[in-house]
Amino acid sequence: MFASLKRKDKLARELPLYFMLLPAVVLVAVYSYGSMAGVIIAFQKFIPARGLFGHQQWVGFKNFATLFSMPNIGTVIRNTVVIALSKMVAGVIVPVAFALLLNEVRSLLTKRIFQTVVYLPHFLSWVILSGILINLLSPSEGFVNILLAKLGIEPIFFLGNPDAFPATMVASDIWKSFGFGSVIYLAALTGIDPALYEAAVIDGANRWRQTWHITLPGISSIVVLMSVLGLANILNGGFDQIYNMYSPVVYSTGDILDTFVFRLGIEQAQYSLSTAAGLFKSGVSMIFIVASYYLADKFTGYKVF
Amino acid sequence: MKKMKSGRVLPHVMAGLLMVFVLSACETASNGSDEGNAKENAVNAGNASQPTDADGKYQKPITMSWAVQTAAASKLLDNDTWEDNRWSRLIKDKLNIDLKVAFSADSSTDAYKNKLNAIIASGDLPDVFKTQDANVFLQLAQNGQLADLTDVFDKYASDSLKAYKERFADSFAGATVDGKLYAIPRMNDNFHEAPFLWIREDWLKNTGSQPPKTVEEMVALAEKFATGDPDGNGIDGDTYGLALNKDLIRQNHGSILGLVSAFGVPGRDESMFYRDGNGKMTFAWIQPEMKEALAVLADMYKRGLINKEFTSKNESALVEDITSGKIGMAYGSNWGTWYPYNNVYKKDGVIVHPYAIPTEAGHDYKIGIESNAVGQMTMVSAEYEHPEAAIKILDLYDQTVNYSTKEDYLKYWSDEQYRLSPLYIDQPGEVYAADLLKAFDKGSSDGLAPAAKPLYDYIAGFEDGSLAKDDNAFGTWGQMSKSGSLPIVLNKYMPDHAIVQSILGIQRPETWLTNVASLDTLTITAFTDIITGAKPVDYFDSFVQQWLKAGGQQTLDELDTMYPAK
Amino acid sequence: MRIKASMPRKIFLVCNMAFLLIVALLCLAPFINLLAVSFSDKTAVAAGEVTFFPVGFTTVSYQFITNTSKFFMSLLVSLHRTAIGVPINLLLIILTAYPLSKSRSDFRARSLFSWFFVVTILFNAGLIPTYMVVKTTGLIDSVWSLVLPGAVPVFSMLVVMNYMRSLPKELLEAAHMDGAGHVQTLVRVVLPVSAPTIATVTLFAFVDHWNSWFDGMIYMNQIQHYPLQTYLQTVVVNPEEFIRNNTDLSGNLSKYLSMVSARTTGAAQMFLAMIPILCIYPFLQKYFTTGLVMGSVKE
Repeated sequence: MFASLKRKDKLARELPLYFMLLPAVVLVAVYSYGSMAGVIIAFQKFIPARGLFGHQQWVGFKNFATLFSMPNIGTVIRNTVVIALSKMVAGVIVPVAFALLLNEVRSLLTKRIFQTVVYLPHFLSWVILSGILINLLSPSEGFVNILLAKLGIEPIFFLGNPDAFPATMVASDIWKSFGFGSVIYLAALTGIDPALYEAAVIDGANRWRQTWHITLPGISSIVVLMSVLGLANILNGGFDQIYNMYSPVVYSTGDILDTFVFRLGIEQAQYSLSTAAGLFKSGVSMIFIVASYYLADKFTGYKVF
Repeated sequence: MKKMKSGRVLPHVMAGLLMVFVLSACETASNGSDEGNAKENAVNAGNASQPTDADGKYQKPITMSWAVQTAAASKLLDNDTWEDNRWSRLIKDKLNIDLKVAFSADSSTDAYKNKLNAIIASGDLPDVFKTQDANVFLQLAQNGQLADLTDVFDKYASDSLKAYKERFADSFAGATVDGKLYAIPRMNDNFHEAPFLWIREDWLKNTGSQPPKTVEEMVALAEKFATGDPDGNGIDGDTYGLALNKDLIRQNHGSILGLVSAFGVPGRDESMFYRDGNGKMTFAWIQPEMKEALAVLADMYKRGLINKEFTSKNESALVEDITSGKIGMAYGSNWGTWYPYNNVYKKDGVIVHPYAIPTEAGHDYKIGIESNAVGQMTMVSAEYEHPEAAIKILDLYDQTVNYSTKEDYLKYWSDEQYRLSPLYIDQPGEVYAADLLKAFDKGSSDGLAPAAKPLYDYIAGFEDGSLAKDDNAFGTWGQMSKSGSLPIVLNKYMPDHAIVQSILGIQRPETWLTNVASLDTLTITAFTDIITGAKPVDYFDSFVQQWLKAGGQQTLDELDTMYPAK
Repeated sequence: MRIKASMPRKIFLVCNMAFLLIVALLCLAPFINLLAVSFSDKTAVAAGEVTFFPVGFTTVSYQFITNTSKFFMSLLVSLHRTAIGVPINLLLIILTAYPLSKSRSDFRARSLFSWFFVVTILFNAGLIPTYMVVKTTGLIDSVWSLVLPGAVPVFSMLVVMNYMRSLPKELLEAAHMDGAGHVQTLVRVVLPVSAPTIATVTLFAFVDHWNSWFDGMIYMNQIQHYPLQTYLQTVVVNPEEFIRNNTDLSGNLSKYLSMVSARTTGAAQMFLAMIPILCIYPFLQKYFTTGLVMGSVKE
């Protein structure tokens, strides 16, 4: 019956769909695509007075050359990758472990209470969490260091020591997100067919073997999927978090591309240079995003869109 | 029933969405037309050379938008707001100018600078705005975004304003690019940027100590403060010896500037370039003497004489410790009695005194200050149709604050209320320190510049007790009385020829501008690492090499040609 | 079939429960500490005596805040942006997800539009260009600058789209047979069964709007237009500033000044800002699994 529809009828049938899309398309065209056009200033010696589309001096890739000759650019890229990769790896392992342990709890109510509690940090902003962490981690007045002192451990400058800073960022990021990150694994765990366990019990398998042979294979595909999708964030060190907690003392290990781009563009008014750095980040990220989506499709048959 | 319901919801939702868009369009449109009107007014005014009354008041109101710096110390009193306050009303009343706030941001953090840079990027400048950043000023001037004030200043400035221009010729030269005056500069003579050692008088007494004359004595005093009980609370060691803040090399409280000066390093910020004894262009922080200075600090840190967590404390975090009485000694700038030690005086009635920096045998001490050509610039946008209005406001400011009644002075100047005027004579009272000293010798304020007379009254009032509780009186006293900070510069630092002024004016090498932030970070990080013991003192040599390689050497070379030896 | 737990199993369960309790405590403790600090005397806070209970109980920090206007002004801005922003997000998500959930035979341009939206995830133009577009469209310093640039949350849209795509075909075909158009199908059939996923993305939209601070910092020109989190960020970055700026605002504040510190007032403000989140997310929790998981994972 559909096949007999004429072309015109089909268009009429589709017309409402176009109308539905219209507002979103307009907004995205203006704000996302409009600003994409603005990246041309990365190739110019941009002088704001002449306007975004005014006459600007074209300098080709000179801004990129300047960018990569800056003494700290290597450090910044290294920091970004180190922090982002650590967050990615820990961001899979910790939620999976937590989900496995929580799954052993029988009482639904207890389970629900645990979940509610561990979800909490995920829903709060880095502004608030930074405010809390800065106070908790202060070397002299912070609760954590007072506790360490009681245990006879020297105070640790979590936010002021370049050696401790990246680890502090990774740990606090995991603290914020592991609870919510476990939602998806808990769902996968409940999705495992109970009959499999019953069969295993009859075969005399103990809990450990059940976990090893049934539970883990049952969620392996989702673990692979989440790991692969995580690759997309290879250059996202977490601006909100780091910007609110870092200081020049820890730039050597804590300065990431996003904070670097922000300082270059807004604090130092190097608009072209900053946009060039942003463009570099976007370009590299795009490769990783596409790759991760491709791998996700290939390994698990999951299509993001 | 259910179907009916959802059928009825959709139109509402659609209507809602429509309204949202219409509303948004309206708001945008009304913003736009506001601007349009303003421009139209301005254009009309420009064409007709806006008629004014004999006293300079515009017959038809004009508007001026300006960037408000909500600085640390500026407070709004008596229900004033940033839009409607004593200055906006006075300016409306006397000149018929309607002030509009273009944007407001905290100037004690990076917020103001960031906001201004974002606005510059968009190319839509406020009519009147300020910057501390010489580079931003120079770029705007060279790109033709600033109004040329040369002619309007000549035509509209009062004799009093013109006298400022003569007295502070260096500063005005800094605001002049290619022979054109592009800003009203901060009218300054930077001698007052010198560092001092500030010590709580009660701690000195409690430990039976004298103000230290040498670095060695300073370290010994720090040890007494850190390990003993200078605050007399019965607990040994709950106080700090010497306080540092994480910025180390900035001119604020808890810096290392005073200490390195003792070793002949005229350190200051990231911009201290000068010609050394042999006429060679050099940079303060790479002087070999820094090694000795850093060794002293590293040793003090190791012995627990420096607050352990200084790496995470900025100046304002340090202030909390100062106020709560944990800190009794720190290197700092001349304005200590204005801030932060006014808090100590208010809370405990204790005075924190400034002393000349302790010196080190075998070294001529050297003190670095900025070039007079550099400082905050107040600029007018090239698009603004009434650049003369800026000069008129400046004139009104001068009349109101400097030539009017004491009442007006208190209302419009005190408690930093002058910051509510878009333009003010941006002048530290410090420049009158020498005049004041002479006046006190004479015992009379006769012959002082109008701006200096109230300072005389404050100091006299503080000393005779009538103004003992007054913030302004305490602040001025600690700065400019005979026991204040600035006489130390006038009577010691200057006669000793210790002052070294940076050559870096408004013109800056491109290499430096690109790399200054990373060079600055490199410096602070290296010094922090050495002080905390994360790196050995010898690491300083490798820091110097890194600094030179990362654009430092090129900067020195470019500066050498940019500012040729005289 | 029920199996009696063995001894090692019992030990494991006890240890597991203890471990989970510790983890839960780690997640909760900082917030309890925050609450305790906000109700404590400032000297006790400075001395590090406050852990989970207020020391020297006092509400003075809260009184101090209620006497300054900044917190409440920014609260109003946040409520305003949330009230406008969340409905717009939601509407655009639904209006976009529905057409894109159609198969290519039902909507030939589907692929084109999908890519149109997905590209915005792949490529981010960066700070300066985006600022200039927002400036050009005249939104600077208006609440719309916090709403329109992010009006289409593409990830949430994809979640809803995937969910809608997983709905049984028969459902839609039945509606179609009844002669329902797209609008009617969406409203009467698709939306009611998509409630879990809609609830989830609503929560996300709300949390996003409530927690955003960067856009406020960049796009708002007047301090009194800062949304709550932007304002809080200035407090977190420069804690002393809040106290100092507010010292002489009006006479009745000065009496609090000796009683509060940056830490206690900061804690009070942060806690107040958390309340809306605390009130909402636990109630939407049951939808997470159905909404989020079903939307994003279909195997």
